Formats: sequence, C-alpha cells, structure tokens
Amino acid sequence: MCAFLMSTIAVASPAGALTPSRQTTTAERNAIAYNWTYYTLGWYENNCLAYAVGVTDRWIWPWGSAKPTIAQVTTYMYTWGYMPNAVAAKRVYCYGSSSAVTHFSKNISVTSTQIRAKWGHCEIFTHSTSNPYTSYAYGPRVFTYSKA
Amino acid sequence: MITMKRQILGIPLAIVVGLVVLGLAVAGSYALNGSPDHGPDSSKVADDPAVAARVSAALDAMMQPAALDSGSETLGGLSSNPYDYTIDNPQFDTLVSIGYDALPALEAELNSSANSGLREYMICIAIEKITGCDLKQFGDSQWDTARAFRDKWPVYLRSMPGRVKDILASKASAGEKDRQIAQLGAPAIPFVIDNISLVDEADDAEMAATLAGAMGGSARADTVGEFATRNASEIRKLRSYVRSYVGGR
Repeated sequence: MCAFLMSTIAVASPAGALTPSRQTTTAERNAIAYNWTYYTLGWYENNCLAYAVGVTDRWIWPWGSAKPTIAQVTTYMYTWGYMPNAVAAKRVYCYGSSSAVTHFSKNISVTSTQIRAKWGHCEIFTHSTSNPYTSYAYGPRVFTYSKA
Repeated sequence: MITMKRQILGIPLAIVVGLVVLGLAVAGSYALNGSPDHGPDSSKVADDPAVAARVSAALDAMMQPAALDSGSETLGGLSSNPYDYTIDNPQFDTLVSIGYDALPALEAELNSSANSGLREYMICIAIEKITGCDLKQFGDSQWDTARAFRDKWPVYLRSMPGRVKDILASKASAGEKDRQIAQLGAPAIPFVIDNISLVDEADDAEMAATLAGAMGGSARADTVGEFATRNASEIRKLRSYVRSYVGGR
C-alpha cells in the first residue's frame, strides 16, 4: 500500500526538469553585440520575449512563423500591461525593424542604462546600453514599452 | 464469535481500503494525462507502441543541436521564433511525415510534460502542421505558449461539428464556405462528409478540392462522395481522432 502510494505521488509530481541553454562562444557574442557581459546560463524552455516580461520558465511566442510588426507586438504587450512608451519603470525594448521585430530585452532598473536579455535558446546577457546589437542577429532598437 | 466479529468489521475496512486505492489510481491517471479536457488518453498511444516510439525518437532527434540549429533562420540558436527551428530541420519533417497516426502520441508527449518550452512549442507546431490547422487565426483560440495550446486545442476540436454545420448551413456563397472549411483544417473533413446533404450540388466538386487541400497528399476526387471513398482509410483515422474529443462514432 505504501509502495503504491509512493509511486502514485511520484507520478503526480513530474520532475519538469529544465534543459540548460546552449552556450555561445566569445566570437559569437562579439558578432552579436557591441557590448555584453555574461549573466547566467538560462534554459531551453525560455526565450527573449518571456524573459523580458518577467517569465523564466516558458517559451512565449504569440505570432506565427513570420516576424511580427511593431503593431502586432504592441497589441500583445497590452496583454502584459505594457504601454507603447518609455514613461514607467519596467521597460521592454524591441529590436530589428518596425516590420520585423527580432528580439526583446528589459531594463535592470529605472536608474540604470543597463539592460538584460536572453538570446534565443542560449544564455542571458547584460548590456551596458539599450541599443547594443549589431546587425548579425538582432539589429537596432526600434521601440520601447513600459509599465509601472 | 470473535472471528465472526472480525469478519464483519473487516468488510467495511476492505471497502475503505479499496476506495482509497481506486481514488489514488484515478488521481495517478489524471496526473499522467492532464485534466480530462486534455484530449485522448495515453491508452491510444499504448495501443500502438511502435508509433509512439517513432514519435519519441523523432522528438529527441529534432531537439539535437545538429537538427535544431541547422536552419539559417535560427542563427545558431539565437532566434526566439519557434517556427524558425522547424525550417530545414529534417527530424521535424520526419515527425510530421508520420501523419495522423502521430497525433495521439504527440498529445501524450505534450500532456505528460511539466514544461512549456521550445520542445513543447514545436510539438504544437507539428500538431498544427499535420492537421493543417492554424489556431491563432481564430480570435477565440489564440495561444502563445505550449501550455495555452494544450488548453485551446481540445476546445477547438470539440467545437468542430458545430463549426462545420454552421458554415455549411449558412447563407454564405459557395466560395466563402469553401474558404471557411479550408481554414478549419483536416479535422473538419469527417463532419463535411457527415453533412454532405448541406453541400450544394453545384459546389460539390469545389468542396471535394477543398477537402483534398485540407488533407495534404490525398487522392483526387470530383465529388465529396468520391473523395470520401478514395481516402477512406485516412478519414477513418481523422474521424476516430476527433471523435475521441467530441464523442459519438
């Protein structure tokens, strides 16, 4: 009976172990960003958009196969309470172009110029400015959202 | 006398123990399959362990860096767009090529995973690709994570008989009906056939072409009836799959 109970509890509590993210090389990092500081490893189960809105255990992508436009991103960011401005304390920056957004990051604090971002299924990096990316993968900052 | 008392007392005790064991078994089953809303139970997969093994192997292979990051759109794993990881990923193509047979196993994988990451999201994409559905095009079925898809997909399938009947019985033009049926994807096919009397004779050939489009790689047909006959085996699989959500035969 005890053995049965234990096996049932084990089934009822699946591990849900997360998979450590892929590690980029220094050469890759230099190609991706003008400035970067390695922050932490991260998971395959998390992407830049999720990380930027404060979620670390899910991969969030509300669009289809095409990269979203700024208008599509704005519509979705409303669902997380973000407004299309840089007024409030919590900020999310997006990159690429107004017709094809490629990446998201978030500010660390309202008083700092530093931002932090998860790169695809790779690691999480801190950047000293909010516009740190080359055209290799992400491109320039194109829009800012904020919420209190 | 004492023995008889023990026997009498032992009966309710045995019933209580039996009920506890039954309750734990049911709880364990729910934990394995997710909530009862989450689609066909895993026993369907157990019915065909060979397919389940093929699906599991393809999923593992799909997530290997050599396959996952091979497409140019992924930029070596830097993309946040999960669809990029399905492009030029031969293992993902292998998974999709299994067809309708893979659906119960894919859903079992999704429902049994405690995670909602890239792997699970790609399972959702595979399910949509196999069935020719794009849930995000419907306002009430929008999803942004694998977990959200897991909740929306059963609701969508359960709504299929009603959606098909509403479209076929509507006053929309034949072309518009064809377009709307095509949007629903392959799960609509058995219900169009069930409601063939609602298809205008003049639209029969066009509707047959629409159904052929929804079922990629199907045999050509000039009428819906002919389509049903020529693709009976695949339609039977689809019907069984969708019926496991909506009930009926």
